[in-house]
Amino acid sequence: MAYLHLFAIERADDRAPVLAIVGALYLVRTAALIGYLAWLLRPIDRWLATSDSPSQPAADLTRRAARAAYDTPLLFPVVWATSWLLFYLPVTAVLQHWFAEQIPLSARAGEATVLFGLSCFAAALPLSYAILSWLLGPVAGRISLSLRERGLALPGRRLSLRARLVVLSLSLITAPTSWMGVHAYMSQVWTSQRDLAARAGLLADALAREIARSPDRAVWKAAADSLSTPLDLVAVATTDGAIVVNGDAVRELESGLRSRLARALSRAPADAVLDPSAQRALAYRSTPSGAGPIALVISRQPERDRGEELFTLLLFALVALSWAPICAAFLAGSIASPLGRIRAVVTQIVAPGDVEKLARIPICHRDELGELAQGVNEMIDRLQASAERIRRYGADREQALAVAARRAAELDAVLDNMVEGVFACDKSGNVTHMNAAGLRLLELSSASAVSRSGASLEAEAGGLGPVHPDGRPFSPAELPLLRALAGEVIAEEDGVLENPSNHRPVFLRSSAAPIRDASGAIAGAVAVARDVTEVAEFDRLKDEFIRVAAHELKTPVAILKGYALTLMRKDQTLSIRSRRMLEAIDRGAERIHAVVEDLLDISLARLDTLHLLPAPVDLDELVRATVAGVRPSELHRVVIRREEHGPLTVRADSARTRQAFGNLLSNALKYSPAGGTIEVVLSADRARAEARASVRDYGIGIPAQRQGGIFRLFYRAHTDTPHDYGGMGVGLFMAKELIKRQGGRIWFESREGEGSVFSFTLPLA
Amino acid sequence: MQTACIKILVVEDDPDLAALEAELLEEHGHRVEVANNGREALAAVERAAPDLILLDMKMPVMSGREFADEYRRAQPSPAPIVVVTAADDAQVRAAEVGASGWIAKPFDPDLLVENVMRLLPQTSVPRP
Repeated sequence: MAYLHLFAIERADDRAPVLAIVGALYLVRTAALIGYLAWLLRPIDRWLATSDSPSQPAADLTRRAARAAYDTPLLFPVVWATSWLLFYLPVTAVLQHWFAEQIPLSARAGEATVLFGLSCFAAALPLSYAILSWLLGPVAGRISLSLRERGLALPGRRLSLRARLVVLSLSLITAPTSWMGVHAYMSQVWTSQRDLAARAGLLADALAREIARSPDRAVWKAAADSLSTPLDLVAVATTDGAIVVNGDAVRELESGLRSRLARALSRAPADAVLDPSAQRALAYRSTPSGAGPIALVISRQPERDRGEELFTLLLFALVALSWAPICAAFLAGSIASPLGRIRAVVTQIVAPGDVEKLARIPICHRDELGELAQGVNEMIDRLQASAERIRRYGADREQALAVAARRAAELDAVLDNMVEGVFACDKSGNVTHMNAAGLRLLELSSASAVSRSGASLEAEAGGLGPVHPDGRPFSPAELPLLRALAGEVIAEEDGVLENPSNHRPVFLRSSAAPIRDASGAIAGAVAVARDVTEVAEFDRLKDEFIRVAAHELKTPVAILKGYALTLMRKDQTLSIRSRRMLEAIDRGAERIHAVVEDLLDISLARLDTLHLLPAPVDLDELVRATVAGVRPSELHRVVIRREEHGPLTVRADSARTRQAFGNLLSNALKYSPAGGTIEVVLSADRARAEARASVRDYGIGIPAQRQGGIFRLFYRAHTDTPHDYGGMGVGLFMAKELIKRQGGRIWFESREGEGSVFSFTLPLA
Repeated sequence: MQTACIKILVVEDDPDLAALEAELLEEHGHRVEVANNGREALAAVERAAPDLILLDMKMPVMSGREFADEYRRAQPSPAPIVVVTAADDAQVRAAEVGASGWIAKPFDPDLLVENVMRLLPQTSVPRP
């Protein structure tokens, strides 16, 4: 319909073909556009169909659907808007080309249609984009979430907000402007004098062709009628101005045109004359000969319908006014709603709550906001990932703590059910742990209540009132725990505590060690103490038993030896055989005696009842006497050497010192090869007020790994070796006990295969 | 060996050892009386004062120590005592009872006689 107006096609006969052609083309175009849209949207349709089914749409389909959802609002408007231009231009060309002969088209209809197409283009582009993106946005959002779940990137073209705004503002300017232009043109078409003259001329040309074809007036009449419109008066006149067809023209001519026509005819065979009022145009075409009929057309300016014009103008204005807000509303919506979603999610992120429950933002448009949403999504991903990590870490930690707590409980249970008292302290010496047995030990020896947590070592030291086995009081620094704190490792050390309430001894055997941190620095110490009073008591009973038994054995031994010796000495009548038997009895008794003496010595040493009678003794003399006494064979040479010649008077129990030295000497003899030399060196350290005696042998020596317990009771370094020469492992123990109890020191140096040196000191008198 | 003949009291709970001691001393011409414990010994010194007493320390009924205390209290001029003991601190024990000498069990028979000879009181008069 717009065409009829644009081309100013007034005649009903002309309208039908134009409407048919334009309508057909319009339908084709619309069908093509719908087909194109359907083709564009097909992946989305397929995706939607499969997304409802249990099986997930394929990744490829999802990607294609996303591309369609994002690209369709871009592609389709461009195609649609362009189709306006592409549609109107050819249609106009066709109309102008084919129907120019038949239809009086406005001369500037082409420009008008271009203008109209442009306005449609400008209006269609943003509007269709806005509507399509509004419609497809939610679907695109859904697909984007599906893509996100699979970790796929977003496909499709990106259209920046800026570009959209620029296009919108351009079309906001272009569309109304071109509409106004069209409107202005149409008004001009109706008012233009030149157009009026041209129209009349066209009709006159058409009539002249009919007149030239036939001389029949009836034909002229039919042609004139067919060309006539309410605004165009078509007539045939003679050269002198008489109207031969369509008498209506006479009246028109008479009203001011006749003289103009006459003047015009005298000048040219074909021309158009305008009414001075510019309300009419008169066009004429005379035959080429100059005689004959003249085709005459008087076109009247149509009555201008101001109301209709105003209505059209209002209509345009209304369309323009509503179109712009619709576009703007859609556009604003496409900005505001993603922003709203982002804001909601960000609010959720900021608010305290479960990060796990945060939903991803669907990305409805591929623009800056889409990217922002994508960024927020990635942020949520990271947040959730770190929340998950934190949660897992927390769970691990909780589990570790539970395990640690269980272990601690187990440890506590173990510690509390231990017979040994366990004490632990930190590096400043505060007791951090004390088990039930430890508390019992403290209570056993301390009347004051010691709180488990607050007990300090000082309190422990003060409360315990510990003493050494020989009765000297412990100083706090001597406590195993504090010694361990200083770095010492204590293994199985015996101590005696005194119970202040009943003054009974409590025997403790303690071990302690420092606790070191990763860098090796001492972070605390732990000590274990065991009440060995019962064991000690049992030990004492055993020693007592040994003592009594040994004691009781002495009388039978005395009887055996006494009778055997008496018989041998007094009875001269004894046969040699009998004498040998008596000698064997005496030797056996002597061996029993030796063992009994050893056992007695051990029990005395262990019961701490060794009676020593210290007196000034010349060590030199004592040594010489001992050497003289123990040298049983000629196989060894014993050399006594003095390093200096001052008096060597020591304060010692003569018999016991002889015993100690004798033990060293007999060991040296025992473990030296026949013919070996034993060196005894005597010296004095006057500064330290002590005399020293060393016994050196060049015998088998002691293997390094067996040197550790050499002074221990019943320890025998060479047991189960070819050098096992028998013995009880008492000699060195007794030597150590005797020397120590006389205020001396005893030690040795030895190398396997090279020999040993045993040395001791005694205080000078 | 020419020695004076004296009267010796052997106080020893073990009869075999007492017999050995008596045998050894009698062989040297001494008169020996044997008491099995301190109580018997007290009875013995009551009957006849000995010139020397060989005293075991550990005995049933009455120990050597108790005997020595009792004996010294009862006698204004007691005979010298030689302690014959299995105790490891014989010397100390001997000092405790104020003995003139000590012999550790087991003893060499010769040593016993030698010790007794040495301790014989210079003033003692040999008895017939």
